[in-house]
Amino acid sequence: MNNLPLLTENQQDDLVFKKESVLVETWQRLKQNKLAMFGLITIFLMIVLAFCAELITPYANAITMNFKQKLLLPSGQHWFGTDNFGRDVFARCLYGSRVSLAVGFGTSIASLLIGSVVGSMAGFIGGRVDNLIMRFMDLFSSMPAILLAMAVVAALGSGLVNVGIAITIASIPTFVRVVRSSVLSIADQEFIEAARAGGTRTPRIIFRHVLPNAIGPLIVQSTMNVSQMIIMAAVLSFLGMGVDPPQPEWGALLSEAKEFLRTAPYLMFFPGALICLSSFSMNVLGDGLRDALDPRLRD
Amino acid sequence: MYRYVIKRIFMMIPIVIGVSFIIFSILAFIPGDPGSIILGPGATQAEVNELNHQLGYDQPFLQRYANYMYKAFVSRDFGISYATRLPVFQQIMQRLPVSFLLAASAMLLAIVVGVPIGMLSAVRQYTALDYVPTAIALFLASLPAFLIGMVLMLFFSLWLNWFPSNGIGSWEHYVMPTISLGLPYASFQLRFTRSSMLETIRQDYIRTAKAKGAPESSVIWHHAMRNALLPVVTVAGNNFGLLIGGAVATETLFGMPGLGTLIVNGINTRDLPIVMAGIIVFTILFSLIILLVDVMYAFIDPRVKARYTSGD
Amino acid sequence: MEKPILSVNNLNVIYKTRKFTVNAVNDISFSLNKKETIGIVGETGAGKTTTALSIMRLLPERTGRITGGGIHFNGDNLLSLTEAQMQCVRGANIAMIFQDPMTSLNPVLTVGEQISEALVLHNTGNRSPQQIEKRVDEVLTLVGISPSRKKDYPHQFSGGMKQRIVIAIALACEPSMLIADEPTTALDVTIQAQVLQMIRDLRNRLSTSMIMITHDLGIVAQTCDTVAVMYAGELIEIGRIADIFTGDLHHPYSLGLFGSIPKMREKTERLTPIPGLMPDPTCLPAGCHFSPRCPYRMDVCNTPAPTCKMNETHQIRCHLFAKESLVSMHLPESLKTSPALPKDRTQESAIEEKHEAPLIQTLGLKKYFRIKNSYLHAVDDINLSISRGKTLGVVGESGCGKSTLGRVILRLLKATAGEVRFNGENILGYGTQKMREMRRKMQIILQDPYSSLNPRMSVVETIAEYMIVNKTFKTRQEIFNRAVKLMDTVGLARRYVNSYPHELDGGRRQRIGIARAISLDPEFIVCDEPVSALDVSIQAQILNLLMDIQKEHELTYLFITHDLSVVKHISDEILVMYLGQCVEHAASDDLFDSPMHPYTKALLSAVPEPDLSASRREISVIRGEITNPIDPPVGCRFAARCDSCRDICRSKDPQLVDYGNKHYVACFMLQNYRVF
Repeated sequence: MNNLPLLTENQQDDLVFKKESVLVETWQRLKQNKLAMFGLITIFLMIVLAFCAELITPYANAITMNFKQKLLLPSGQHWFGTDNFGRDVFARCLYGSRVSLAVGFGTSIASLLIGSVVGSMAGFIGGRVDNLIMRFMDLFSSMPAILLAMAVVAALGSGLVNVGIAITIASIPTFVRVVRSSVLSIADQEFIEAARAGGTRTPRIIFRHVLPNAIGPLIVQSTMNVSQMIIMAAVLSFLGMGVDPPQPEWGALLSEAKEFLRTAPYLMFFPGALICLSSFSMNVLGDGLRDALDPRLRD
Repeated sequence: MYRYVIKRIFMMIPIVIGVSFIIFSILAFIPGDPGSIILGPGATQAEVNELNHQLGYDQPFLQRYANYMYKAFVSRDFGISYATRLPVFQQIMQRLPVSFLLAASAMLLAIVVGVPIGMLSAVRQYTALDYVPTAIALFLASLPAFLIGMVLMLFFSLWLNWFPSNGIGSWEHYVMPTISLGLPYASFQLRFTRSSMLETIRQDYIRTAKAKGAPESSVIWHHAMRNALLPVVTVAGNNFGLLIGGAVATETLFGMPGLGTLIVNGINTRDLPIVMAGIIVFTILFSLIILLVDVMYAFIDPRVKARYTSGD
Repeated sequence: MEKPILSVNNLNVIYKTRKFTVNAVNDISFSLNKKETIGIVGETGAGKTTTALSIMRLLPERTGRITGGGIHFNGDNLLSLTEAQMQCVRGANIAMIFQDPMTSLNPVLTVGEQISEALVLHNTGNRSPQQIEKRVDEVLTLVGISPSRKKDYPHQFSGGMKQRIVIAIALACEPSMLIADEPTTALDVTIQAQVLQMIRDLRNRLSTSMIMITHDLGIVAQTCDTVAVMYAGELIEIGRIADIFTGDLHHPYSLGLFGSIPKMREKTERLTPIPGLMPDPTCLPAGCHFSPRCPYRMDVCNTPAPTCKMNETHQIRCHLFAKESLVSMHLPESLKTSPALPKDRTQESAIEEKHEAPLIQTLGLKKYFRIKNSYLHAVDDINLSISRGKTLGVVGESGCGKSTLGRVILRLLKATAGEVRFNGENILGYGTQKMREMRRKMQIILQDPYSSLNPRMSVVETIAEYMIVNKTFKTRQEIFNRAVKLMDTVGLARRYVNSYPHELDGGRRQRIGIARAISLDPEFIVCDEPVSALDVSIQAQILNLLMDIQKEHELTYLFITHDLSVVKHISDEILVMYLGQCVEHAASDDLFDSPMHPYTKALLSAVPEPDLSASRREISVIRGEITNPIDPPVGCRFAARCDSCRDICRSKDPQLVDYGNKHYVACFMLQNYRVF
């Protein structure tokens, strides 16, 4: 910090009120973490590739069957080989990444939004509302998440959106808990009391004072959650409750590969590696964010 | 203590009722009525209606739910499977041991592997003994259990032919499912144990112990470990839910006739009584594990024990 | 001359992290004789604890490093011992007590186990397990805890008791030297007195040498033979206690430190704090580290200062004393122990009060918290009134309800019963809208400069927040301009406008809190322990600021604190609280000159004073612990700890009675004296 004596402090006069967020500082610290940056860049590249899939290979390659070319080893023409219907596995993985990443990110954002609203209501209003919400969440978290998701898929039918809804419902309780506990710890801080003493109304207290401070653990939780959701979506597809065939998805690709484990083990390799890579990237990014946001590590 | 356990068991009742209500409501959205599912497309509308009436399906929703719960918990009658026409309770009881054995052995593996290595990583922070296990754990935590299972199956069944890849005939059948289910959770336990231990060895009472002249080993094993284990125990219990989830896919992969495959088949064949009862049983199992963990917690932490015995 | 038990020679310690290196201890030397106590005094970051940890060789393993010097204990160089040898020294020959008793004990082991561990580790006398158990009982008895409680866990003990157990662990093996690192800082003042007295008794009884690390000069005066003053890792002055407390020659920093402390004995109109802040340890000023803050700074000060011998025992590290032409440095007159008569202030305030109704008044104010099926009587029937421009100090130990009182008056907490009158109007009956307008007139300054500011808001945003919420000005620019003016008012440099709280130190943060509190031009401010988290030199700056602002804006303060010297310094009247009730209420000087309630007396005598004559006094320590006023029984709440308690004290509630000159006391014993 600064050690000039007090007397010389009042000198600079040109004042610019600039808005410099603490997030900038967090970003500076995150940049130092090589593993987290690896995760960030990898996941960014995967998203870009998923978006630009059409520019690389047409969707037709991922779904058109060609029995003359089935179960080919990886080659210059079919980078990841072909499956038992002669479909290009590279194209299927590429278009599959759209589904998997969309489910991973989409459900995390949805649970984040719903979880924040419900969690901050529980934490801030407290009392009966809190009790009611939390007991309800207890119910949801006493069911193993995958079973809950399976039941929802069974009721709504398979398909991308329904899978998304199913695993969103399964992951909301965690978010509610995270938001509630950070709201509670922030509501306990003296600056909330100070805001009240200045006549600040409750909505402003929530949006200006509580939520900006709760955002740190939420970002970490969301990042980690993406990784879990990618895995969960894969599990559902593996069990045959994911997207409808012939639409490609990583978990579904693994499920297909299972049948040819002996004859064509490479079929398992590529989608498996992609699930691992994306989930690993989000995990290390989450770890890095947690360290970057941890006030105890600040200097 | 005693009173606390009994109180906690009673507190499971509303949870089970709530969960079964939620599942019952969700499953009510499944299109089709039991009559047509059981009798198949060949049956006449009259036959279907007759069967639906017999099963009580023509009653209002809440009435159906109440009947179901009454039968299930008073006479252990969870209904009849649509597919096999056998009592659901009997099927579940047949399959429960398989799932339980798998989950318990995977949990054991996760704790036996994860906790000690996590401790070691924390104590040897910034050395290879920390970096290598942490990196491996981070990698394994990014894999779904069934993917590890597929890799194991490829190597140890198909190529090396060491272990059978399907069924439950002998203990060998359990080796690969246990490893594939246990490893991701072992890595989770490892990471959590490590951070809990790191947190603990920075506490003031560790410094007090050192100031007493206690040697490093005593400081770690006598003072730090029990404190560090407290959160680890809780997390292990909470993760049991995730473990069950993983078990469903693992059972399917290795063709094990467990509860997981039963539920998956039930969903695929719209065999609702099976699905319903399967989920309820899993929930009860999960709640019992959490209870067990809480009681264990009290044995390690005198503060918690004091709170329990005072009856709060 | 006797051979010292400990001698530290030219010790240097650094903390090295990847980003920077901190020179925590720079070239310090001192020695400690057998059976003597040395006090190490200094503010946060002075290097006191680092010195202690170096002696114990318990510096953080990866970052802390001793880069030079030697530590000799009984002739052995501790720095050349192996870790295994050092483990035999720790606990057996040198023991250490840490600051926070709440976290110093292992929560999952019984206290008996924790004490016997030390005995088992250093079992040189080959004690049998039974003998060890017997020794545990002995040690517990020694620190005033019944041996029957050795099977209990730490959470079953109060803070003061925990610290006794920590001391028991340290003394179990009868070490020849004890290092006490701020052993009583976390404790309440009456408990502090108990623990301090115990430490002194045990030290004398067991002939232990001791290093007492503290920021409190009062504790030094009471316990030490020698004093070492540290600043920014350097030992800047060392001497016998008489040299430091009554001698004439001092390092400018020591002078500043003494000038910063409010005195209990007399009224000082204004404290003389040290300007500026502790330097950043990662880039210390060249030469004398104190020179940037020193009023006697000379050109030569940017070279390292020499250590100058004043007499056999007294050394000062300062250029001023190197010269032949010694500048004589005197303690401020106020420090001398002359019990100067207080100025007659009661007269003038009496005149003012005649024509002024109180600005703030409470009538039968109560606040009960529901805890399960019982009620915690946090504030129980408090009547007070404060005239415009005056300060009412509220003192009491933790749990006495003083902070709750402040919050109930501001309606931050809902009162259970009673009235709060502002200018004669009961504000507890106001509706939401009217109350919001009312809030502009009454403000709060909070204790913790770390949690009282929103970490996501910059300095200017924080100060502007109230004005934005209350729409004091039309445009944001006007508000921000006014915020900057407020920064000037509280002495906060303008270059911090866009800084975030975590970039600033405690003193500056507290200035932000003050600027925010006065931003709506309030008439009344509740100051809830505004200086208790700050170092003494910063504390003095903030106290002066609060008094200046009060004068300038004619503010009325309710000043809540546990620190008696601070309350004496700032208040016109004082209200002493014990377990939710007012036990004594009088003009500040009256209360300090002639305390009447047994609790007030105990409280006053429990404060260690930086004054040798006072330390020679026999200190009366009250027994017992502070409890919770949960469903309190009828009778005086202090009865359980009071020596002069009679039957009536337990059967009837004492009422406040005026003993002349508006000196109110609630005690039956005084009433009885009157009657007879």
